[in-house]
Amino acid sequence: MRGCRIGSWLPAVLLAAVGCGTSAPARFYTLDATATPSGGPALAASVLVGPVTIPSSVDRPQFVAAIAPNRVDIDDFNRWAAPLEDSIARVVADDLTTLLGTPDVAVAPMANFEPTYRVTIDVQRFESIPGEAARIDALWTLRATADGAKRTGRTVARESVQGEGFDALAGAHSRALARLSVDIAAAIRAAADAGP
Amino acid sequence: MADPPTPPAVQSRSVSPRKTRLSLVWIVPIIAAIAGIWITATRILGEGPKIELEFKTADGLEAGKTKIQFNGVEVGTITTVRLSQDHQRVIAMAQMAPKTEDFLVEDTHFWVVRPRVSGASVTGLSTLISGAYVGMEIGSSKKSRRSFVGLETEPIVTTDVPGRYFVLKAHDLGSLDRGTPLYFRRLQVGQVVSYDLDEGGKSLTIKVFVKAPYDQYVNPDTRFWEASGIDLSLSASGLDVQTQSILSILVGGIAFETPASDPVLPPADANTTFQLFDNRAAAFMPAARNPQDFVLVFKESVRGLEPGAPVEFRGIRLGQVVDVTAQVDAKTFEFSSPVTVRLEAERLGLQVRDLPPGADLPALRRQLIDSLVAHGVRAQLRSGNLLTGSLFVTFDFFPDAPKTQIDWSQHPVRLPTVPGQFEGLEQRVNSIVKKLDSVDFKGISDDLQKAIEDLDKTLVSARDTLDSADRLVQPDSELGVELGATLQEVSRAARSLRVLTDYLERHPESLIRGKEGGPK
Repeated sequence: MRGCRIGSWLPAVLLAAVGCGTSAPARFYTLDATATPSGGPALAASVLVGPVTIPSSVDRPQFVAAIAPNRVDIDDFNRWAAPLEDSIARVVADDLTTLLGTPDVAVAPMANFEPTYRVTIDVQRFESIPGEAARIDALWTLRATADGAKRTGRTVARESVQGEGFDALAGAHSRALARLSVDIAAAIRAAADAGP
Repeated sequence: MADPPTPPAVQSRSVSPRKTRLSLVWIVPIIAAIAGIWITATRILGEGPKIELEFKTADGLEAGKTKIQFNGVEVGTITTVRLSQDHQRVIAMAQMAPKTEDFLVEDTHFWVVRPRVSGASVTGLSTLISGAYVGMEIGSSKKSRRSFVGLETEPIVTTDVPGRYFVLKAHDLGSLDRGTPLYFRRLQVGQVVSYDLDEGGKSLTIKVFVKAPYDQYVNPDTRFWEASGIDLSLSASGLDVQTQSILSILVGGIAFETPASDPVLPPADANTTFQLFDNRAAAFMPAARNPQDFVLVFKESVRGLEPGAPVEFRGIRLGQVVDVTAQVDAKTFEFSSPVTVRLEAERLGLQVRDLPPGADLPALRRQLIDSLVAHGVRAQLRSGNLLTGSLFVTFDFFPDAPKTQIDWSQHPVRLPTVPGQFEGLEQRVNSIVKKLDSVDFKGISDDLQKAIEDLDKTLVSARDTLDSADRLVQPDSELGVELGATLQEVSRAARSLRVLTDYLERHPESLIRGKEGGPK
């Protein structure tokens, strides 16, 4: 989105304008949808994902690495390409598309979209332990727009890092999000079965 | 010289020389006698006249010492002081200075100057030290006189002061006294010279002197009033405070003024008699010309209406209330208050001056009052002053008043009245009720129904308007989407700013040097 570009460029432009020195180039990482189709029947439902909330300690462009208990390192040269909330919502939406077999999964806010279910996610823990693991604790709520029936679940996903570096960490996070999506997809299917 | 042989001759010789010696010897006494006679004669001839002064008391008079003074110049000395034959008076003989004969005429006055303190002035203070002296005032008569009756008190005004005397008639003296000042436009122009009770004891005659040139301002229409102290009055016209000067507050005074509206009259003659009024208002109450008494019968309470209360016609003073009484109708047992008023009908516009000579004035007046009453003029009681509750009588136009005719055969003539303002309240309420009766309630309700129908239509269109407004602000509407996007942009900008400040806080040097280190 345009806003996203302005938001990311503004600090850079300011730094370039006032800085006389040179900075080392930063590396940018993304989260990807990694879920594989579950094999279940395609669900005729539309889902709206969002809003997603994340802990404020990780709500920043930099990678926040947990290097010791109660201590983190904010790495200015390894950064997320997009704000984490947006990335998480998109990855979950992408995963759900795959898992539910429906194309009607959108990220909030979306105008003129009447979802069957709304999913809100509160990520309570988003830990990156370099060389070790990525861990996501999330509380999610599923609500049917029609009757307002609610389902709530909690997913705790810990994915080991395969290899060194932040690339591996980003991959582990993507996998953790896939596990979260699997839980949510299961809940949606259950709701769809319980419903009309 | 002797010749013995001739004895006769000797005899005659002896005789002749003796006679001669004698005459020589006597020359000196003769001359002395002649001189004495001449001196005596010249002294007697050169001495001033002797006069006789009669006083009530010889207090302060001392033979050989007390002087007679005229304008401060010594013109004589008291030589002897003795009692009169009946022992009631004191006769003082005085030796006047030479060439004072022309002073001693019929209307010359003498008085003993003693210290005198009155409210208005202190005189003769110098006599406290020098002793009393006899003052004199020289008359203008041509008739010579040698025996005088002295005045008891020093005259206030001496005859050499130009001016005129006037006589005032008052019913009491008030705080006036000899020497009380006379004011004209707050300027002291004269004094009270004397006062005297009239025969019969019903009034006082006060003699005042007005100095020239102010005496010319006294004309036959001049009003004199007692300006004693502070004249404070509370009446239907409000609070009125009148004073002349500080001195007059203390000792009283007489003020006079001439009404300006009158044509200029010639100055009044000396000793003209004027009425002394109690206060300025009374003095300027226009002298009633052809006043006539009328009776006004009021059915309401006349509490607060006192004799002297003004009678007005639309604010113009016509006269005053003379008497307030009560009467009861023996048949209907109805109380009423006949109020006698003294009016000057001329003030209602009848100009006596403009009338042709010989006009029938009473008939014209009658005609005037008749036409006024025919046009609805009625008397009414009104409250002049809420504070004091004073009432006054006013004539005004009441076109709604019932028609009436004046019965001129009565005496005094009775004029029609209308109830006062409060008593008229009932009538007003009645007229309001009458008006209410005539209101078209049916028409009003029809109109109201029409209005309600219109309102219904208006509400429908208002609902339409609200619906479109509602559509505009729904989440899916264009406006809602735009608003959401804008808010998102704002939130992202805020986030970027937060990140930047966070980084700068940690690495302020990076503004100059750039980011240090590199990706691990």
